[in-house]
Amino acid sequence: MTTEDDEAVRLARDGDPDAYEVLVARYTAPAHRLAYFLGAGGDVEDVVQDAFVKAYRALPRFRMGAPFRPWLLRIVANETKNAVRGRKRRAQLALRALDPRSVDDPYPRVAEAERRRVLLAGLRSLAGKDREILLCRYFLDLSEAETAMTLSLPVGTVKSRTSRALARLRDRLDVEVLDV
Amino acid sequence: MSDVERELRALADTIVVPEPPDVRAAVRTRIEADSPTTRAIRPPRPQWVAAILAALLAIGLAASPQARAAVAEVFRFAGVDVRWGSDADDAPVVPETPLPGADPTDLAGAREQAGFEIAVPSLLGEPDRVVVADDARVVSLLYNRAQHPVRLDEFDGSLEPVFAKTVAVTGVFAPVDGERGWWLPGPHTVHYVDRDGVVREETARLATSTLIWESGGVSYRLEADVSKAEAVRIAESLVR
Repeated sequence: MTTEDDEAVRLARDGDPDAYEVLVARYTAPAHRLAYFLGAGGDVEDVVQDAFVKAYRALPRFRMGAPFRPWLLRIVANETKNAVRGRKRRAQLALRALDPRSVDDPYPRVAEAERRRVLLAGLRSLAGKDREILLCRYFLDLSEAETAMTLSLPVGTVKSRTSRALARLRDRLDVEVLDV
Repeated sequence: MSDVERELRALADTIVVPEPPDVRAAVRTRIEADSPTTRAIRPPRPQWVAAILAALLAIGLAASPQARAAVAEVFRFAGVDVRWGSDADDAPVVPETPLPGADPTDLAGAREQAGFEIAVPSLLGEPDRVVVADDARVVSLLYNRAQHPVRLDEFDGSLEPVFAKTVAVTGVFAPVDGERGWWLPGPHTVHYVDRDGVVREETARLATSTLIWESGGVSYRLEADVSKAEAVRIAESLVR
């Protein structure tokens, strides 16, 4: 956590809306990315907005000196899950919106595009818990500690679940290759 | 880093993510509309809790609604925030939903995960189901009795609120093994307060009568459709 965060959090907690707006501006992009990857779909803007409002209300409980970003991301993750659950759509849809940007390439490298397709299919086929971890670690580039906080898990669980999810993904990729 | 990890990172770069929205104005409007009472509950100082408890005890715990309002709107005891109000009547009846991160396990599994000793009421024996939730912060023992299903939540610590309840009726003092206990008769809504202090609406459920007490640094919440005397008997039969 940067010292600027510390200062902004302290001021926001004391009710300074300008200070909070600084935090909103700073963390809208990662919050939005997380909500999008976890499947917020068309609700993504509402989810981000609600998460920031909830986080503001929860600030009195924020432990000063702790990193703000993963604390906020946990609230975003919970909001996203609520939204997805609320509209009764399966989390499986989470990755449906993900489309590799292959259309930009006038001469698509077929093998690479195929590999990406296989990888995405593998990622989609994983159980939600496994997929969430991989999305946080590799798509959002969160550290193990940040992932743990975001998904409300112990760090040990993040470590073990990451390697298990990677192993499962590898297995599926092998099967895909054999199937071709 | 393994090949798959490298490939995943490379894949992330090819994913198109829509432009993030600018939510600054909307968030500001909403937080500025907040009145102080709608903000998250600040953890009160222990002496404040003690003072309220003392005040409630002094007025016999069966005070009139006016007297209650004069004392406090939120009363905290053994990790449970109790809010007086008529909300309990309006609350939607929703089926029991899992607490955040709820994982079914068994007694041995729960004992391994929880950072405190788990007690089992000898009057009820082995639970039919055991659920640990929110990183083993709460351990629930569930008994599927046909007439009287029983739920016993055990959680570490006592000052940080774990559950928020809205009750239309006042509670009564119900000592357990000579220690302070609190009996909330009749149904009321229960919300779970997660580690960030955010009240999680989606776990709201309609509870039956509840006995709350604290013993040896662990807080207990027994939910069962039984009499107060029976609930206290169950509570006093806990064996660690």
